[in-house]
Parts: sequence; structure tokens; C-alpha cells
Amino acid sequence: MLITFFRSIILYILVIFSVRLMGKRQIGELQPSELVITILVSNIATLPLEDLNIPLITGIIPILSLVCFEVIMSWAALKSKSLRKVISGTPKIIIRDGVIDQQVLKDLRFSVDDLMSSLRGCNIFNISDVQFAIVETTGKLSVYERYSSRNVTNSDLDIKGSSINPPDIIVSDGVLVERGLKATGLGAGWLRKILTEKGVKIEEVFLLTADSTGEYNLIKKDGRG
Amino acid sequence: MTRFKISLCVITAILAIGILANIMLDASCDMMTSKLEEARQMVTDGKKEEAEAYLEDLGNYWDKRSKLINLFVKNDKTKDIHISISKLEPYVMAENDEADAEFVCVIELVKLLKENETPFIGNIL
Repeated sequence: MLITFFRSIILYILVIFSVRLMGKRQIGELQPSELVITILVSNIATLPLEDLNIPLITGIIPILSLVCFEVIMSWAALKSKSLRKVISGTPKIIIRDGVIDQQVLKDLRFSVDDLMSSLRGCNIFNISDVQFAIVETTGKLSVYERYSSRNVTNSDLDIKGSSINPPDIIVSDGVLVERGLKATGLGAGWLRKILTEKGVKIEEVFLLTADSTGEYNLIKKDGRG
Repeated sequence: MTRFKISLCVITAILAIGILANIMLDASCDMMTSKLEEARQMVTDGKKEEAEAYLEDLGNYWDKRSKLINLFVKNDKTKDIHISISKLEPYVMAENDEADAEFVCVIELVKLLKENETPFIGNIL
């Protein structure tokens, strides 16, 4: 039993390392090859746990090899467009000017229900509202709506304003986040001023966020922690 | 690029470990085969005491080697060899007729272990 426990720890570390090596991607955004590798890795990892006769290394080597090949192939695909096409495929235009390309639909083995469901996921209930719809290599549907159906933007209404970065965390659970303070460009003086104004010490702050204009939001600790 | 470099390093390390492990396994199996042949010859020549002592040493040698080999080969394969070697000594002591057959069996098992782990196209496929 202890052997299984120690093997589990080693494989846990290995799988975490492998996932980190593959990079940050959500399950829905995985390329076909990445999805296959993820499934394979999870299957292989269980083998040395189920059968103690199997050396741990015969579980470790295929996991590391598969993940490393995946990283190397994705690097190669980044350099070569034709390789990228072979590995990941190409995005396909499935709706053009509100008309479904039925041949593409057949090629992708997409049913009309699948297409409608994906469109509804994009908040579109009428195909005629779609200028272009593209099935990405991940299988996700990207939609470009017709001009008449697009949401009104600030520029349509000629509303002036400047784009600023979203607020950064300055203090988290009583601890100063130097990186956040630096990103906003506000400085330690500004922080001291805010804390004095509010009559709190930094240790008493649960969360303080601020943007570059000095607009902030301060939440004190509730004293129960 | 960092991930790519790490991947290349890991692949290189895996290849290096694999090659070293194969060299080690080959050497161990060759050594075992020659030692077994020697012990078999001793038994044939009637040097019973000498063969017994030799087989004991051989058992200890395989004990140590199999621990290392088990790191990359399924335990079952080394266990079979271990069981056969442990049968040899009592067979030789009792001058059992099956001793020679057991010698042949162990030698064959050791050769198979070596052959099965060599990356031939047949083994790969």
C-alpha cells in the first residue's frame, strides 16, 4: 500500500510538471493533438498504480516522451505553416453572408443542431444575423455578426473616453502586492495616504484594488479570521 | 522556447537513460549466461562442491542485479529467473537428472530477457 502511495505522489508531481510543460490551455481550447496527449497521459499514469509489477519508470517515460514530443511538434508547427495545417487543420468558414455552406457542414460532420447550438452559445438565434461563422481548429465556433445586428459601441455613439487598464490588486489579505502597485504607477505615498484617510493599517486590509487614475476599492478584514 | 529546450533536454535524458539501461541489461545477461554455462560445465565435470558454491555466488549476483533491472523491466521476468536459479542448487546437491534441463531453462530465460528488451523492430512493433 505504501508503494502505491509513494508512486501516487511521484506521478502526481510528474503529471503536474507535464501539464505545466504543455502550457496554459483550457480543455475546450485544446488542439486535437493536445487532447489526445492529455487522454493518453491520464491513462498511462494509472498503469503503474494499478499493477505494482510494472516499474514506475515505464509509466514515467511514455508520459514525458509524449508531452515533450507535443511541445517539440507545436514548436515546429509554429515555424512551419504546412506542418501546422497537418497537425491542427485549418479553420473552416461554415456560414457566409447568412448562408450555411452545406458542403463544409458535411465535411466537418457537423449537424444543423450542433451548428444552431453553437450559435445560441454565441447569443445568436437567427442565422441571417451572421455575416461569417468560422469553425476554429479547436472546434469552437467564431461568429462575426452583420452590421445591422452588432451591438452599439461607444464609438458608434461618439462617446469620448480613454482606455485604462483594469484595476490591479494592491493589498491582498494584509500583504502589499508590490507588482500591482508598480503596475498602476501610484507609489507608496499614495498607498499611505489612502490608509491614513481610511484609518486602517495595511494588516487590517483584506483587499485593496486600484487603477492608474487612483480610483480604488478597499475592503477591510471582518475580524473573524 | 524554454519549454522547447526543456523538452529537448528531457528527450535526450530519456534516450541516455534508455541506452545506459540497455547496456547494463546486456552486460548483466551476458555475464549471467557465461556464469551459468560455467556452472553447468562444472556439474558435467562432476565438480559438485565447486558448482554448489558457484551457484550460491550466482544467486547473490542475480539478487543484486535484478534489483537494478527491476527499475525498468517488469518484475515477473526477473522473478522467473530467480526461481529457476534457486532450484538449481538443490538439484545439483541431490544429483537430480533435471539439473541440466533447469540449467538450459535459466540460460534461455536470461537470453529471452536480453532479447525482449533490445529495441529490435520486432520488439518495437
